[in-house]
Amino acid sequence: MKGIVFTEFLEMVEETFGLETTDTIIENSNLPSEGIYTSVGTYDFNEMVSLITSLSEIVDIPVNDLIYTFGLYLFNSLGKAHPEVIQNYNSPLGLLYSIEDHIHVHVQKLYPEAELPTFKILEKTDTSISMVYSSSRGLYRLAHGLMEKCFEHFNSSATIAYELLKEDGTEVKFDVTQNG
Amino acid sequence: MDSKEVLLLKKALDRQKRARAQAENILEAKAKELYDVTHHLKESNARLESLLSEKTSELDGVFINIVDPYVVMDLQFNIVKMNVSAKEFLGYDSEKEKVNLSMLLHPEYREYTAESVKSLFEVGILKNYQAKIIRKDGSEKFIHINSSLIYDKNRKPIAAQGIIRDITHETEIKQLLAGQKKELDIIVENSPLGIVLTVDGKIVKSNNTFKTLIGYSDAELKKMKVSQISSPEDKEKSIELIDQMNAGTLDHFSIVKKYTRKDNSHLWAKTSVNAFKNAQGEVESQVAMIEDISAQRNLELQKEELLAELEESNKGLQEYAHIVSHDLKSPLRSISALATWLYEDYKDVLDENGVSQLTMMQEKVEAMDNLIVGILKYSTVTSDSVENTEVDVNEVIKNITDIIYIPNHVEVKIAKSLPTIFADKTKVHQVFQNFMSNAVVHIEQEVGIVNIDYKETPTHWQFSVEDNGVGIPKEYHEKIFKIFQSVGNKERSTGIGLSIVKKIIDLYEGEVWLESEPGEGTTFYFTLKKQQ
Repeated sequence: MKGIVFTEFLEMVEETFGLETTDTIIENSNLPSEGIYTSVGTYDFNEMVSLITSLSEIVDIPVNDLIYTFGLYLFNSLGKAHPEVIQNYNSPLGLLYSIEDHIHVHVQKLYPEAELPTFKILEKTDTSISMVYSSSRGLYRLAHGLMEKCFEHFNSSATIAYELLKEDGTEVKFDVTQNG
Repeated sequence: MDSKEVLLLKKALDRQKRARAQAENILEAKAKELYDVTHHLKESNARLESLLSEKTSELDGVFINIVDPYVVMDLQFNIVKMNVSAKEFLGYDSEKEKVNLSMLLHPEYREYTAESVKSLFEVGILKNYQAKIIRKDGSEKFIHINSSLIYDKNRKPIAAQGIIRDITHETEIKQLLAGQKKELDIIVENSPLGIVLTVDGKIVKSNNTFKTLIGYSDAELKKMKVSQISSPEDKEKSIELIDQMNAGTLDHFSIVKKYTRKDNSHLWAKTSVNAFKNAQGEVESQVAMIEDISAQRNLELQKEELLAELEESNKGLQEYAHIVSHDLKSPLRSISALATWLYEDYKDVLDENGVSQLTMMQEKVEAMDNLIVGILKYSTVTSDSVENTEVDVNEVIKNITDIIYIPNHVEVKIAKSLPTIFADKTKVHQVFQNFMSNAVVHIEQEVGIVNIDYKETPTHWQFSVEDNGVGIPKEYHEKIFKIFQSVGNKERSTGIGLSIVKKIIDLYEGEVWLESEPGEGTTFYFTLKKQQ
């Protein structure tokens, strides 16, 4: 998993729950990396699982809700890191439509080893999009948060419904309808 | 700031520092990787550039060295580049003047060329384009072009290249050959002989004459083998000859054979077969000329039948002659005996006239007997009865002079020693005896001379019997060799003698003739062919 996900996650934890909580989950998780992350590095996905699980225990918030919240936070972070990517689009649906063909292509340029989820478009209209998320990580709630924030970024909102095609969340169908 | 907070910040700071160091390492590694990749790319580029330059130089070499005229034109047919051969062949130089290939094209080939160019643009290559062009000096040439399009890196056609071959001579030869073939076809088709081309015994081609002769159509014949139209009895011989031909020991043979027509009737034909060999000397095909000899063959068969019939009837006639002569002779002998008895018993009462009439009667009977013997002899002179041996003609003459009656005033002379010939002794004797008997009895001179002589030619013996007798009038010269013809009316002459002579001389493929002056004498000449 890319280092930027770890650094932004710890940043969010620090901002929301303070330095002490951040230190505690790092210390509790017994991480091979010792919690030392850089955005240009790549780390084991299990470290993220440990960190989130540990945080969930301490703050008593369900893991999936934490992941969703992180998704909201991550959109802004990524937007700050690579503003030119978002500037290419003038609508949230346009951006979603281009994840696979455009945004992930750019990611792959910088990090050829990155393992990215796929978004298969089932249907697209002017106001809606229907697609299937699939990834062995099962982080569909992260995707959910990212999408939510995307609409917000464009001063818009949407109704986002999802349906687990596989119980473990490795394949999830999203139906996104723009509001108004 | 309490000490716990300080501790946490310190820890956080330490993590940040280590993270930065880690990031620096990662970036350095990336930088090195980038450097290596760049270096590798540079090397590759250099290699590619050198390869390109090699290929370009190679192509330039090909362009210069190519023997055939080579031309590159743009899509408007303007010559962009041409080699020396092309300059020499076309008479133009694209470096000195603007040359458009469409101007060189002979008007007759415009339509065909338009189609060819269209196909070149569609497919990218054009093979076996053939047309006539007019060169700078006005002369016309037949050319052959293989051409292909040249593309830029986006696969957009920008030009076309082509190699030109001068096929004027080839084309002329082809036209000449086609003309000759046509002439030959006319000859073959109109030939009175059937002509058939065969390969491995299969009929490949045949002319109309043969189709008419055999009754099969062209399509039928092409599915047939020669053996299917040949009569089985000729098969063995034909196979043997064909085998010899295939083995190369025989180039040509002729055979008379029987073919079976479509309607099952037979065709008798003289067949001449010639082997047609390829450059390696192997027999590639056979050409057979078939001459219908059915009519000729029928005539021959008829002739053979007639000959057999004739032989049969000749034999019958001979037998008949034997029987008749025998039957005729016995009453003659009775008449002769009766006349003798009449004379013996009544010679005292008979007057002189009666005796003379009885004597005449005896003479007539004798003449009749001679006539019968002569006819018998004549009829037995055939090639069947010839028995050739060495015959000394001198001896024959001596025997004859001993036997025949020679009047006292006549002398038989032999001019020079006569040869020994290979012939039937009896027949040679018969011939000479006839001539000599005739010669000695017809001399009225005081001193009679019969002279026998000979001459040798490469193929024949020529004998002559000369006398100084009464001579034979001109009008009888031919007549005397015919049966029952004689000069005058002598009792002893049957008129058969010379016809027997003629028949014997004919047997020996000789001639007989005479020279005679009435009152001065006669010379008989005859020739006998030397026998092997």
